[in-house]
Amino acid sequence: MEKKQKRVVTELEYLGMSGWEKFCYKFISFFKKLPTVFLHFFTATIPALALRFWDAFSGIFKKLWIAMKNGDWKTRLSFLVMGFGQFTRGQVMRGVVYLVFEILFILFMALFGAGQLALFGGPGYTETTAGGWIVDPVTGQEKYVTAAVGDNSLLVLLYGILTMIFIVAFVYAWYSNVKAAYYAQEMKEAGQRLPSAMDDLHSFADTQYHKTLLAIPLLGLVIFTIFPIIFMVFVAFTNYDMQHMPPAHLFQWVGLANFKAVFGGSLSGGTQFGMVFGRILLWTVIWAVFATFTNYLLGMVVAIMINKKGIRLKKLWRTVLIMTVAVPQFVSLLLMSQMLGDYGIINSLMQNWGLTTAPIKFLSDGTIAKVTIILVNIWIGIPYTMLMVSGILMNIPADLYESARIDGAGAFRQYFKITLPYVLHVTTPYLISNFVGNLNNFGVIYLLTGGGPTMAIAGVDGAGETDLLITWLYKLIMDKKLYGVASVISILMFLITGIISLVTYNRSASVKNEEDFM
Amino acid sequence: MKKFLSFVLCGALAVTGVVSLAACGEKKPGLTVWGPSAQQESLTQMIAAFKEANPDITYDIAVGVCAEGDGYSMMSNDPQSGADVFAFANDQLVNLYSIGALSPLAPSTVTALKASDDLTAVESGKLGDNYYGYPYAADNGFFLYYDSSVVSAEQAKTVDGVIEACKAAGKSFIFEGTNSWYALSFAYGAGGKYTPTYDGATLKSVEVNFDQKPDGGQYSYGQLGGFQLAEILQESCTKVGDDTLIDNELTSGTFGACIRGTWKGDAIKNALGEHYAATVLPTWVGIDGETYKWYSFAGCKLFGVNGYSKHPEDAHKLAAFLSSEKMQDKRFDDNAIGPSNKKVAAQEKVQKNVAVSTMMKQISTASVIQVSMPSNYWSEADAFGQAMNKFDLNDTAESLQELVVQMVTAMKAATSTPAQ
Repeated sequence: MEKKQKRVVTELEYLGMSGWEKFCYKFISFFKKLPTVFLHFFTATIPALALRFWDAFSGIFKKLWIAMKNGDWKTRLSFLVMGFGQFTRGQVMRGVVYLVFEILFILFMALFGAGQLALFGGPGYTETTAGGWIVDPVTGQEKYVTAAVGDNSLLVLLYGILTMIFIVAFVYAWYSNVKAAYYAQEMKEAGQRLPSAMDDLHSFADTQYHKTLLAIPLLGLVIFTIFPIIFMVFVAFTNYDMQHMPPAHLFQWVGLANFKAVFGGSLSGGTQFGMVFGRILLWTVIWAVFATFTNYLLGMVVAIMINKKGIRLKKLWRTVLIMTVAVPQFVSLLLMSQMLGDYGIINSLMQNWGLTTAPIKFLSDGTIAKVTIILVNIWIGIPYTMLMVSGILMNIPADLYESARIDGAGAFRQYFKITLPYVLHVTTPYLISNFVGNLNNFGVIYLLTGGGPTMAIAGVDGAGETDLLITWLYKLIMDKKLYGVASVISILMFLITGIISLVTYNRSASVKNEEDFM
Repeated sequence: MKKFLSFVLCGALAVTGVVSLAACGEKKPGLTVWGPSAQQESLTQMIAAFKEANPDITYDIAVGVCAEGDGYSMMSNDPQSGADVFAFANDQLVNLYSIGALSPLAPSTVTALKASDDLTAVESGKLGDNYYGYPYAADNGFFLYYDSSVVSAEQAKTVDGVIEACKAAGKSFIFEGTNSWYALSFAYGAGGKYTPTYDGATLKSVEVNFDQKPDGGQYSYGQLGGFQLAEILQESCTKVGDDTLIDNELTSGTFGACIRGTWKGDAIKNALGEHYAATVLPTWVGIDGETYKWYSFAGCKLFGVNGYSKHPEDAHKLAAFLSSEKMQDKRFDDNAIGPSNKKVAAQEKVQKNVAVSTMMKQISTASVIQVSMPSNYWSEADAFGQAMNKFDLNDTAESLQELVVQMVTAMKAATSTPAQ
């Protein structure tokens, strides 16, 4: 029997294939490659990552061990008294800063942080007792006893997380203190001059200037973005909802109950979160695909049409389209939602003209509303793409088209071989950010339909046919106050949008062949 | 941020408190009152009257805006920094109680209120053994407004009559039947019931019978009411919409009749002039051939005292004053708010107000008290209304019953797992 040989398609052979064969070849080789890709991911990518992580992690302890082993008594005492190494080697300011930080940390933990951490999670809560009237036994008069406010689980969670962040910061400071003490010792041993307090201060305007510049933005980022995200992740594991509004009723940890609810289970209240989540996710993806690609393709078609040689009044056409951009988007959307209403001007006119007998439910029938939304979005979205693509089109060297014409390429071939690759190459990052933006396109949906009409199914708790995940989330938080479940959905949305943007962006031609059109 | 701000404010308050104590040692309770935006002016006047009535104490009272329907959403932001006295609709009672935003009334006050005010209104603030609100208005519900040149008084007595008249004149009948507040009004009229039972703020059970048949009947309450709703929504002259639509129809001169509450009375009266008329909801004929009443919800508005108020006794005094007979009388004069006080309601001027007196008649003859519903009642009723709007009238009664059973199952599920 002949030994089965692995057939390798050479580049020449590939180029010689017909279009259909090329497609089949690509299709088959994609699936052939899949197992290898997965195998590579599990056998190479993950172990490599783990190794790198382990190296970084063990490096910390190695450095600590070396400092312990080779350090003199000054360095070794720095393990206990932060800043001691610096202090005794003449770096008074550094030493004082470390020491003050240590003292502050110990005071904070003793007076406040330890208590908050002990309460963190809830078994030790003191409940609030409501106020009420009692009859004074002596005078016989009614007297009001004021409510005794107990713990507030929201504040406990907040302070608990702050304490944990503080602990992490302290551990880091402690580590850098040991490292710096050992470094100072080595410098001294090598006979080098240690930087003085003045040198340290000057370095913030010189070698460490980036730190000075970034301090405030970084602080803002931590306070307004990172901290709320951490907080939200914690809330996802609690039963923080309408029935557990602190301080009257405290919320507790519920483990993975919220996650289970979103993945097919249900929570008290009987809402079918799993079913609703599935439906809304499906519509969100459909919406994002349509909203992104209809705008993109039609905008490009319009731009090409306007850009075509021999078209008159180019400036006029462009101006007309740009007018829709000049009106703030929310104004157009609000007007549209009024005009398209069941008894809005469009339906009234059509009925007056005898075109229809009953109002068309542009925004109040689930399926029609979905189509309407996509159409309205096309109307407000095309000008942006047109504007951008026009600029790119004008940049494509004309000689490319000329040589294509000489070689006998028709209009379609020119489009697919020159225009599309060129435009796509420049705009892929825009397409990706647009797609992710559409996944979270709150404005269009909220202003046009508000997510409505309500799904005509029992057990959806107010979720609408045209709700995107983001507008549903808004309802869950603002109307239903289901903070726990809402946090789970935010986490999922974060994962979905994050993964899509990262993967597509890294695989796009713009990143891979960065220099192609340079 | 808000917490931080409230800390700063509390700090400032504490400092001013200490300073003022040190300065004169006089009692100067600071109170905040929230009332609906349309009544701000009369509320300010009422507070002036309150200060006048209590000359021995210098009150420092601030006024804020909060619609009765927003009582819960405003207070739930941070009950501890919410108003001391605030207006709320009785269907928010349980939610407000659950965040500790309500303080109970003194037993002696309750006894007095029971004597002076409509008993339904007083009871609407009851939860467990305690009463949590000072009623001041009993006018939340809906009834029929019509143009007497389009619909005759005789036609206004039946749904068929109203529809027929509107169709004949080419005018519209406006009814927001897909909205949860109206969606089950026919089913209630047919004999349907929905009763939530609470233990404190925790929902214990929901009794609901829309899927059941009356004794010897062929159709369930939900089928009867649902079919009538589908029928009326799909009539060619029916337009489904809210206040804006009513305004539009009034301006364009195509208004025939509408189902709405007292708040729309003035607008309709101004537009229709002498043809302005209102009456209780018309009767309707079910698929079984029987004639049924059309029920409205009956809701009250009350003043609540914040459970975290720093000056609870003063706050209670103020809330009682704001809901007193005199102030209800003033509120009717200023804003035509239907009173809950029996003496005020009996006055001729109140009886002469078509909208307010019709509402009172509707509440006393054909209504269900709108208690605190678990939130899924509203979403289920909403979904049912939407389903009826699309329901094919030629479809079988069984397929309608299926929808009813789904709704009832979901409504009952509100307690199937105990609140965590």
